[in-house]
Amino acid sequence: MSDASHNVYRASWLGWPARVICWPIAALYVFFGALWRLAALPLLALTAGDPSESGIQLGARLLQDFVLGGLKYLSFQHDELPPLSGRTRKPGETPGPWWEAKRRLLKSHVAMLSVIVFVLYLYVGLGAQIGWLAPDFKEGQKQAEFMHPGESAPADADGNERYYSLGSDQLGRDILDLAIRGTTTALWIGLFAATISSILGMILGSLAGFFGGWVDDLIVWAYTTLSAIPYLLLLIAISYVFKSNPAISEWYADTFLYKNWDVSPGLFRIIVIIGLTSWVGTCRIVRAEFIKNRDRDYVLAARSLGFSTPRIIFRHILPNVFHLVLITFSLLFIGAIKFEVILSFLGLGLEPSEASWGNMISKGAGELLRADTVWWQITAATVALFGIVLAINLLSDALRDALDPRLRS
Amino acid sequence: MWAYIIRRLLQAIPTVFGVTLIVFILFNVVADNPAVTLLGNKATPEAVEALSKEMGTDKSLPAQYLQFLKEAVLFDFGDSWKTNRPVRDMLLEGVGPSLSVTMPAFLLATLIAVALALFCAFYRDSFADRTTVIFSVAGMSISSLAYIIFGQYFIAFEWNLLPIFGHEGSIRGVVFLILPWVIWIALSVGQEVRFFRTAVLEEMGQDYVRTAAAKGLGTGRILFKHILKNAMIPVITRLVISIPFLFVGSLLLEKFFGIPGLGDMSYTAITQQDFPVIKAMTYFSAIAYIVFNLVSDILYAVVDPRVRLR
Repeated sequence: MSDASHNVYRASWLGWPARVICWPIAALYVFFGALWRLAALPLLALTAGDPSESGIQLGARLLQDFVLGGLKYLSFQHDELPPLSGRTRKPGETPGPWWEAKRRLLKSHVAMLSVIVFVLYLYVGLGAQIGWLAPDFKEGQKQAEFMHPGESAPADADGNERYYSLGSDQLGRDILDLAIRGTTTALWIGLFAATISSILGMILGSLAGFFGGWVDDLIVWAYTTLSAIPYLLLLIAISYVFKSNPAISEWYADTFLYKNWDVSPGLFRIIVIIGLTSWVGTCRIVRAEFIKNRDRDYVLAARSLGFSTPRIIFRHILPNVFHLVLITFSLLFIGAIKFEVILSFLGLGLEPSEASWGNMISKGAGELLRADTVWWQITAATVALFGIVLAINLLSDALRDALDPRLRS
Repeated sequence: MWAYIIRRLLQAIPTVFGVTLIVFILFNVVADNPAVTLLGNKATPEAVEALSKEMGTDKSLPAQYLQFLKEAVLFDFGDSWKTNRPVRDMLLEGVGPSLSVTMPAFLLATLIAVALALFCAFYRDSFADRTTVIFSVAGMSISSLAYIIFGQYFIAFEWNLLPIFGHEGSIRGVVFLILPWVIWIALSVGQEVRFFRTAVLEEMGQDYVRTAAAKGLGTGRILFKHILKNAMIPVITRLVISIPFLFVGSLLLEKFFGIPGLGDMSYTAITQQDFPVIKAMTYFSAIAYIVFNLVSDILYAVVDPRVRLR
């Protein structure tokens, strides 16, 4: 009896064809809803919310937004999404420039698409860092060298067959795993190098622009000097000197970065070198903006109210300049990734055994010339690099359109 | 005007000084002992000491720096440590091949970019404009290494259209240069088109364009006579500023195509710790950078009468 009622229940529930069709559709809806929401998260984090809102409140708001968004997608109401920030404006409150920019970004399909691509790269890079993705990329089998894409290695002693979707390299490492690990490397380099140089450029630029006088002269002298040397030559020279000096490697082997966090010497070197040399552009822009802003009325007002100089610089002027820093940050990010590739290719970046797109291109260039053209390694690295650089290029354009009021028509 | 030029040149002295300081700190202070690099790890301490004495790296750091400054003022960096030839000769030999790669490619790329930018700005927001912009963004996003490697592989190696590698001083050497030119153009045109297109579009939004249109001038006349002249101001300064980098040459292109230019030479010098060549290269490229920056500022004032040189 209970069997029959069970059957009735299942039969009443739309039958198997509906299940087969509906479940994937529902899954897709949840998936894309979640993706869209997750893609919007970094944008939401940027927007200035309620000044009184604490970090936990912000997080809770974003989480609620995320869940609600997914549910709304599931319930086929995705064209009636609530305003993304979840906070409705009070009557009479004017939307700030960041709110305006966010609205523009969310309306631009190109921007959202590139954010999604970037977030996918972030997940892949983070997943490999945590160990979810490509966990065993070092354990290549010698007999599986230069597997073609889509080939499976013959079963080993345990009967395990390994499928190589993108082929394997000379050591039998899966190219897909290598590319995924390379994503992690590239993201760390882009993130940290761009952060270091943005902060440096921001601080130096604001000091130079705000104070003028000898401070300005000194900082202008520093960046003119840096930019007078061809940049690639400078990078190569510093990388070579740092790499070839044993004292520096010995010093680094003792630092907590290496001992506790397992940051490889090559990675550290590239991040530091690019971070410390590429601040010139940001510094120039911030300096010019500070010179423009320092005599404006609001700065005079702040000064007459007796606010301290750091407060005026960081709380009053810098927020007016920050959108430009954000745009140059995105360009520095891809610049750092591109220079890592070139330096690794020249043998001055990461160790050849480490996974990076530069090493893949460097090895793949030689493999192209083999009798059995091994094209998959270099192609995988090039395509991976192309994807993230294109996404950020497009995103920085969209950011510029959204954030720079001068360009609005 | 002359007062301005002289003042700018005087202001350039600290910059050149800074460049020498960076190079000195990098190579004479931070870098490993060059005598060891030159002789290899198995050299005896006596041999290393003798070579250091010969090269002058055993002196105190201030004395070495004074020596460097003296060489810089006299424009004479002595002989290369690796090839034992005067650095001046080596640099003069390297400029020709470097310029033969970069100069024609740079001119062609600029021409193509300006033409495309005008076309795009003229047919703004049309299908052709969008396609060009999309392709230039996509082209910018491809790694320069990929252009060189795949270009060399397909055009020279796989399809045999052009020689893979090599250099020849005479006019017959042009066949070796065509592929580097094409790759340079492919590399740079995307970025240039976007920059020039923005410059032209910015001018198109100005009031004087609307006035000219209201007066009934034809589109071609407005575009070429009014807009182009003004849009060329940022374009010219950008072009002049990039000239010194043409002299230094494209390091990657020279390395891949076996062209004995300055880029390849400086890379070799760095990895062999050939101090005289490194010092001369950075010193002269800094001077070129400063001079062409000054030229671009002067040109800016010449073409735009609103700009006053102070």
